[in-house]
Amino acid sequence: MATHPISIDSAGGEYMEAVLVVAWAAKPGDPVKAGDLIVTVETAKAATEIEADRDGWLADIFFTEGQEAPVGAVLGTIADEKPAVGQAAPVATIAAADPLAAANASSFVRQSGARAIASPLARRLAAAAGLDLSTVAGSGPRGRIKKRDIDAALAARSDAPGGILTAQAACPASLAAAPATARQTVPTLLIHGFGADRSVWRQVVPLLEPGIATISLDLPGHGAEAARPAKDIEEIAFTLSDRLEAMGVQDAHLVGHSLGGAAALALARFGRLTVRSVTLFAPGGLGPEINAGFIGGLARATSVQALERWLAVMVGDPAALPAGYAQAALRQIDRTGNRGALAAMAETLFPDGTQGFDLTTALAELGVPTRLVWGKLDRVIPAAHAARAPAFAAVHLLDGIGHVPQIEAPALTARLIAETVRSCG
Amino acid sequence: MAMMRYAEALNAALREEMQADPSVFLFGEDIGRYGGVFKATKGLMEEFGEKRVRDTPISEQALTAMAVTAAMTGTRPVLEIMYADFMPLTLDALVNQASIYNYVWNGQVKMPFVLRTQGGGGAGAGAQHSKALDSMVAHIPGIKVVAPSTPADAKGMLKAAIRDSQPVVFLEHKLLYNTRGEVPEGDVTVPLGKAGILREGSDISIFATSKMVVEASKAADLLAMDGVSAEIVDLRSLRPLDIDAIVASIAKTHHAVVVNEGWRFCGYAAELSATIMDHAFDELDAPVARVTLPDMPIPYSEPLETAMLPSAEKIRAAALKTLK
Amino acid sequence: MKNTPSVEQQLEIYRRMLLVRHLEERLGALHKEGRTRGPIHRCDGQEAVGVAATAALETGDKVATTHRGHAVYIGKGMAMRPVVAEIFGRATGACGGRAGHMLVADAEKGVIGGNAIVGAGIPAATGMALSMQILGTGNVAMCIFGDGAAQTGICHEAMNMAGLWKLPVVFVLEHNQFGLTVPSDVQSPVADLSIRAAGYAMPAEIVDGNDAVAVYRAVSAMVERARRGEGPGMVECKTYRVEGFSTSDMGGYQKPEDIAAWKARDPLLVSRKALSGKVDEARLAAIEAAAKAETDEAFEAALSDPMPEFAVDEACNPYSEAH
Repeated sequence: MATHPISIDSAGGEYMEAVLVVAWAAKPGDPVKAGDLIVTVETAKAATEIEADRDGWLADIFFTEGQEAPVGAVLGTIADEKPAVGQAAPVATIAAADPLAAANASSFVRQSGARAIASPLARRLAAAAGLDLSTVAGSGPRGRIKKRDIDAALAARSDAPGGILTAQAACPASLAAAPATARQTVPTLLIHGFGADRSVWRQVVPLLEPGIATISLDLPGHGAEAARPAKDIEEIAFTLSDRLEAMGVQDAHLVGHSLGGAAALALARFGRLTVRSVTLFAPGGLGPEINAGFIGGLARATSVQALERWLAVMVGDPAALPAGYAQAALRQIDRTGNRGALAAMAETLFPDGTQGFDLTTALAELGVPTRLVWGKLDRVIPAAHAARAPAFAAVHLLDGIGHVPQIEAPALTARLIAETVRSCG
Repeated sequence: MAMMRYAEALNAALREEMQADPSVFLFGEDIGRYGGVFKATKGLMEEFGEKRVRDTPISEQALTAMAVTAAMTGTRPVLEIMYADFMPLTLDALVNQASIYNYVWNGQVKMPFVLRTQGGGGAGAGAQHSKALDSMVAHIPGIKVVAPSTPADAKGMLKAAIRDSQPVVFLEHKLLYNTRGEVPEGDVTVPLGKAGILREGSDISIFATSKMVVEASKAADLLAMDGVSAEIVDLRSLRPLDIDAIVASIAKTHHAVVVNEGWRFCGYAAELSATIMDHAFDELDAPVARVTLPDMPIPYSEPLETAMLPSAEKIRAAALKTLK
Repeated sequence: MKNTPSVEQQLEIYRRMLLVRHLEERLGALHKEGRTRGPIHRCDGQEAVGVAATAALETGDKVATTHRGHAVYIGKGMAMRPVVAEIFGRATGACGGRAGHMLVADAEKGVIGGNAIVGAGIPAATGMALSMQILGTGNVAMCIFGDGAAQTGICHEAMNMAGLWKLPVVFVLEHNQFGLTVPSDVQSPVADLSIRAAGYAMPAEIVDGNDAVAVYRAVSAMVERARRGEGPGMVECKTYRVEGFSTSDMGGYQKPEDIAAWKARDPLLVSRKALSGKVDEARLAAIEAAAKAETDEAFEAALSDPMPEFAVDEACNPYSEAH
């Protein structure tokens, strides 16, 4: 029976870690029609209604009412055929009703790419030993990997070198900087643009194939780094480099958007990091032009209405912005309190409405696979800058897309990142 | 060292502190002529007189409030509340009075009083005389809460509590009064805020309070027969909590069972469990297990009461499940 | 008459009552301007109770009062500025801004202290008296409490023990006729609550609570008894709460004719009249002007005093070894 996920990726609340399931409009086994309200979730303190994207039957509910679900999680599924009665009881109910029955399942096979269930100690030991948890069989309740399983796996590894640790390890894609992840594969560093924060990649990360481990950092003056602004692109590169070193990251694939694209190039030029590949989305630093009104408006907006109008400039089609995006973004700015830092950085990075840094040389000097992606409808940095790409770089010009492909076309963005990363073998 | 019963150890501590400091006085129901329902104050009225050892009317609310201000004005009251089940009557004095003044009066007053009480089940005393309401008092910032499980700690901690400059709720257990143990002679105090390692082990840590320490020790014997080496940590100071001792033990065993005779929901075991998560998450090889009273009134009839109370066998089962 | 205050004592009582009245009126005005924080419980019209009762105490004696305790703070000898600064949450307040106007304490002056749990001041004073008896200090504890507090269970418990143990405590019942909005006759079957004193084997006297001299006479007699070790006593002072429960009170439940009648017997007028034959007008006028000036000065200083800074430091840790 084919089933299709009900997910909240497209439901807004970009700046939230999790959403709260408020109410299911159907119960498992009920028929649903495309466009029917199926579940209401709370995002950024606003209720968001998720509609069925197809006709079918509600098959599973993975997060029951009142539960929190991580953004990107599959809340439930719609089946093409009517599910058998009793088959679709909520998972949480089963677990609560009989924890012992589940606990007694001693051997437990995880689906590839699923999150490994491991004790905190096992996770810590595996990370320290560079052991990929997805290759370890758990012997604890519900297949939980315990210390003894790590000990056994490490013993087996020393018996058969290379047998367990593989480069194709399926790593949980982590938004948070994860030093443990960085040790086992070359991570992909995602750098956001001016006025955003690392959560801007949230829709893209779950779409990346297993095996691509990501690290998303906040730029100085942004997100968690709101209190520490930087005055120029060199300081941004320096700060990022320091933080990567502190995490033990020595080489990485770079992905940057807008100012983050410029930061990626500056980081490559800085030279302390071994760069494996570079994927740039509407990067800065390739020409003097920039929409100064947008930058200023973004930094100054204090009302949802104002921010909404500037955000509309950012995309090719304003409908591409998830509902409540401006509200969530504004809340985020208010929470981090970085409006002042943004305004100050706008002044020094873009004096007189001009990009204050030139990275065309840095781009030209790259010796690794390089890809440039630009929306043809970009009204923040003109797509014409793509013409300054060196001959070795792949250039993609996207129809109908504005300045933020990662929001407007997350699947394509994920695909292009993956292709660049894969292209270096 | 002298072999003593728990109640005798308390009695000795009270006597020594009253001899040493004339500002120490005792009051409570039935503590004078009768010597206390559990005999902890036996003979003290004869020795120190009716002014310093007072039988009181049944007035827990006012008695506790009076202990607060008496302590602020130069004396060191030791108040006995006969059953922990009566502590709800003391709560205004603890929550709205004792816990606030040090802070809101900007350090102008000290409140060196001790509220002794006893709780816990197993004696057929029914739903209103069997509860351990530890978490209800441990919840209140500014109140110290201790619950010694051995005669030696009973004496040493009561002496320390009387000398402390802050309010201390001193929790005893009706089934501990007759337990015997070695007690150091002379003026020996046991500092508040430090856990005791009753037994070292390497496979699992059992954190227990009051009489549950006794049950945990029995559980450790049973577990030894299962081939499991259990470490027993006596959380004799419920607050302030000896977090270092907890973390050190978990760093060794990576498995934890917390045992408290109070209710489960919002209970002391829940606090312990969260504290372990805060401070030792990366040391855990399994979720923290809680052994508590179920969230129900305590019944009278023996098989009913016994079925409810945390016991050595329940602790053993929880430990084995944690080690799976 | 026995225990009648001397003229100088009466003048000092009158002066402190003036300070309290100015304090209350100024607070009312600042509240209207939105410059106060939280509810303020004014004691206008009840100044004679708090000031004259505490005038009967010595420095080493201690008093516990209510959430409406401004007259007690000033009566027991606290200076205006730390009281005003505390009401405005300043670092220089009597409690560094941590307590607010309902919970003011000054251990050195024996104000221990304001208490906003109605009834809680009664065992508080009783506990202090217990301590005094055990230590044999010769001091007396006093509780100023209202007719609302008289209905609590803890009032009975504490007074029973005070009577039983002959504790040196004086219970001053500030009968202002209201427990928040509910009049006394809806809260108690008896008008004179002090008849209950008989149940605790303690003497009681009912006085006009707006007559500072009457309050002083009755209270000082009880204080002397208590100090001699003869046990507690009660004085029921009949007065009236003219300014409502607090600044958050919408009013409408007090009869205008009652308010007018009690205002005509304002304790300040009663005290001034009692003094006018004994002290010349110029001296009274000088005292009045000085009280106004002292209040203005205290407000001016307190309102420009710094706000406290929040710091999570060792002092905030209730389990710090430093305590």
